[in-house]
Amino acid sequence: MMASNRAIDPAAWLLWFLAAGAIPLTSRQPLYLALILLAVVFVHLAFPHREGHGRSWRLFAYIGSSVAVLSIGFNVLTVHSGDRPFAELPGGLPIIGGQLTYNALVYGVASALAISSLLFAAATFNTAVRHADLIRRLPRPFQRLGVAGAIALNFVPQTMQAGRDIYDTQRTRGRTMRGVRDARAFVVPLLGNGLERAFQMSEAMETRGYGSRRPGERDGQLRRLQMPVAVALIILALPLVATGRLLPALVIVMTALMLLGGVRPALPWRWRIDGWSRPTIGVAIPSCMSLAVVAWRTATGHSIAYSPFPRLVWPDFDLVIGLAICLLLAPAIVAPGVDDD
Amino acid sequence: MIDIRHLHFRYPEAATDALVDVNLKVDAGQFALLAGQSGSGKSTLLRCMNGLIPHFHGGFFSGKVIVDGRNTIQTAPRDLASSVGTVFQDPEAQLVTDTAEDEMAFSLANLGHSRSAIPGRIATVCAGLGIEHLRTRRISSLSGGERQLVALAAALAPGPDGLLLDEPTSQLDPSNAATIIEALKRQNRQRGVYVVLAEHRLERLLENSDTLYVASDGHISGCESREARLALVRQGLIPSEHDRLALFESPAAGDEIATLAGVSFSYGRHQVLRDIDMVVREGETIALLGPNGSGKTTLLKHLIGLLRPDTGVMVIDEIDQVNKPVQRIARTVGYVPQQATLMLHQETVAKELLFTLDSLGRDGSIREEIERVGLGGFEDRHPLDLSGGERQRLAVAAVTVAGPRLLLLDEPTRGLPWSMKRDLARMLRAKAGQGCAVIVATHDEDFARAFASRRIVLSDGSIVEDEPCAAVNQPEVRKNRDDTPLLTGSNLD
Repeated sequence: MMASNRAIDPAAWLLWFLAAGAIPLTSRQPLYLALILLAVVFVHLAFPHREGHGRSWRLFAYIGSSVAVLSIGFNVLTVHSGDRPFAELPGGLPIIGGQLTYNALVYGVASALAISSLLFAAATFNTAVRHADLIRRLPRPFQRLGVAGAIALNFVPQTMQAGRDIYDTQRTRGRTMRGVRDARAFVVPLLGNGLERAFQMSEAMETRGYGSRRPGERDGQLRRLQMPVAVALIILALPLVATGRLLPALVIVMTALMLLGGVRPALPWRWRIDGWSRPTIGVAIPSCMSLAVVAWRTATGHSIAYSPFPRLVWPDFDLVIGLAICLLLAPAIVAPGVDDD
Repeated sequence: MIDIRHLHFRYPEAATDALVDVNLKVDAGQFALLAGQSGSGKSTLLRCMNGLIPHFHGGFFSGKVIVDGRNTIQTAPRDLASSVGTVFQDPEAQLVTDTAEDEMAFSLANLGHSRSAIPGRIATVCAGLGIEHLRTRRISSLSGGERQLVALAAALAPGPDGLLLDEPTSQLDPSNAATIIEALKRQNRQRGVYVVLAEHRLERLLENSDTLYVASDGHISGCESREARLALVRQGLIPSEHDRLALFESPAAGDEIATLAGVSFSYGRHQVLRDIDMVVREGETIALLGPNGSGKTTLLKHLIGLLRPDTGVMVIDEIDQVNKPVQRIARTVGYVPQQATLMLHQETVAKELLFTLDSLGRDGSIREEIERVGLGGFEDRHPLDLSGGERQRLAVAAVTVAGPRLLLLDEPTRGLPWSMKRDLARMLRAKAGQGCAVIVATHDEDFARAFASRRIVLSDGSIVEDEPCAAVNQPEVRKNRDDTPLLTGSNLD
């Protein structure tokens, strides 16, 4: 079956990303993590990439490998416990002094695998899904936020291009951009250009009816209350943030944003009614199955947890969980094909 | 459809009115052209017609603008969007989403069309404009002309009675501009959509329009079609026959300044320059012509050192420049980019020139250069307070003040009326007279005739023509070439 990246709905990719991220977020079992990393890299390689995304993948790969090396080095040098020492540094050395153990090495490798899996899964998701498609999937109360997001996404490449043009232009006038003194030659035109484009964009949106009132639309009593309630909720969330209770704060802020988004009625922004294509189903179902199987096996005593401390033992490998991880290969199997750009 | 009575408007803090006692009427099915120098009030008038003035721009407003029976004072521009669509100059700055069909849907969604009705409306508009092939394309993959077509489609999607267009072709090459104008004409004739089009490149639009309005210092006067051309020539808005026949003889070409041999360049897999051989001599004025994407800008960027050739030799001032830093090449070569205003960042006009001299470690006469580009008396003005044409001239002065031996300009006439193009042509000829070689990448054949002694035509990265303009200006050659539409295709019907 040949299809394009876009034939797989962003929602299915999101499920795949959640499934790929579940074990790295909760476990340090190196065998499962290595399997996930292989699956993620295979999926990435199976897809042709849009222009510029190769760079983004390379950046993720660079960050992933750097973090992996750091993680291994940090664990080996700073964690001195375990039953399998292989060297010893003088005890007088601060932090790193003491015995170096295989236990710490294995933990470092497992952590590196977890971080790399997450990063590569994010990179693959980023390559496969268009941000605009994802924004279009936002729930109704967030649609106006989505419009702002779409505009911001359009502005980013334009601003980067303007930045490159300004930099080049000042060089052609003989200026070498060195320090703060030269920053003005770059920053002033960039800001001026950005403001001008923002102004033109807002004019264009205004003349295209953005924010216009629909026939029969009125401000109801409930709608008038939404704004003050949202503001009150945000104020309420501030002390929670200050005291470190981030989860309830996040829930409150999200509720406030939903209320703010609902102050004006939602646009039919998701006008295109996309059915669930076969590639979408082919990714969504295996991803859900992967998540469900891992949850089921964990609940029935097949733990995915692993620790090399205090004794280094070979990790258990549950074949069913291994097969569930292999389901992450679904995007590479159901929809490798040409890109639609 | 649009009825304007005794309209006066002044921008906040402006000393004079931008519009003075304007009275005009645009009826259903009318095709009205709006001409005038930069800053004459064309864009302001269009913004009054779509309600952006007074709702979006503050200022002193008096009189009445009635659009589709609604007074713009009492109706916000967003609520006029279903009656009148607007297309602006820069396609980049008016597209919101990432695909063509979403762009059209955006307008429809804003105006409350139901989700089920949107696909049908999009299909109708695409068919009307003949852009079905663009419907699902990503905006980033479209050319400038295609983007402007999408902007036009987005304006037409809600089915407005009229269209207002503010220099929609100023950033496009002649063939893309012709496509836009053809689409407009079709909408006007087949659907009866009234059109008010502000433009600088007017020559071949005149015969397609019903009415010509000429803006001058805020006054708008209507012209009968018989008088129209004469009125425009009088105001320097289109080339006169004298301008058209003018044959510029450059001073005798001197020593070689630049030599390119076998220069090729690719962006990734896409080859942009193919085996370019070219010699540029002192005193030559060269028009670099060719459609969008033919490699004109890339060639200029090679000459200033912003790009390095994959293969080939590039000698400037007897030195192989291939691996030299831009700042070093800039001592010999001056470069005015397409978006010249991106270089302006100083507090005054004079300081802008001083910046170049300071960067290159040169001496030069700032006052003299400012006078030469016609900005005398503006030395202490802020560059961003200048009009578009004035900023363009300032950018040129900011480069020429250092006395480059080779001057490169990339599309310097975009959005300029003919009178300003003529002045720029004179200035470039004067530079050539002083021994400077000038290369201008342009789409504008009239401008090329006015300043160039030699024309080089690029196509798909290769030089397909390289000849003296005198040869092209032979009557029998010109007759054949003039049959090709420059802007709007007088022979489109």
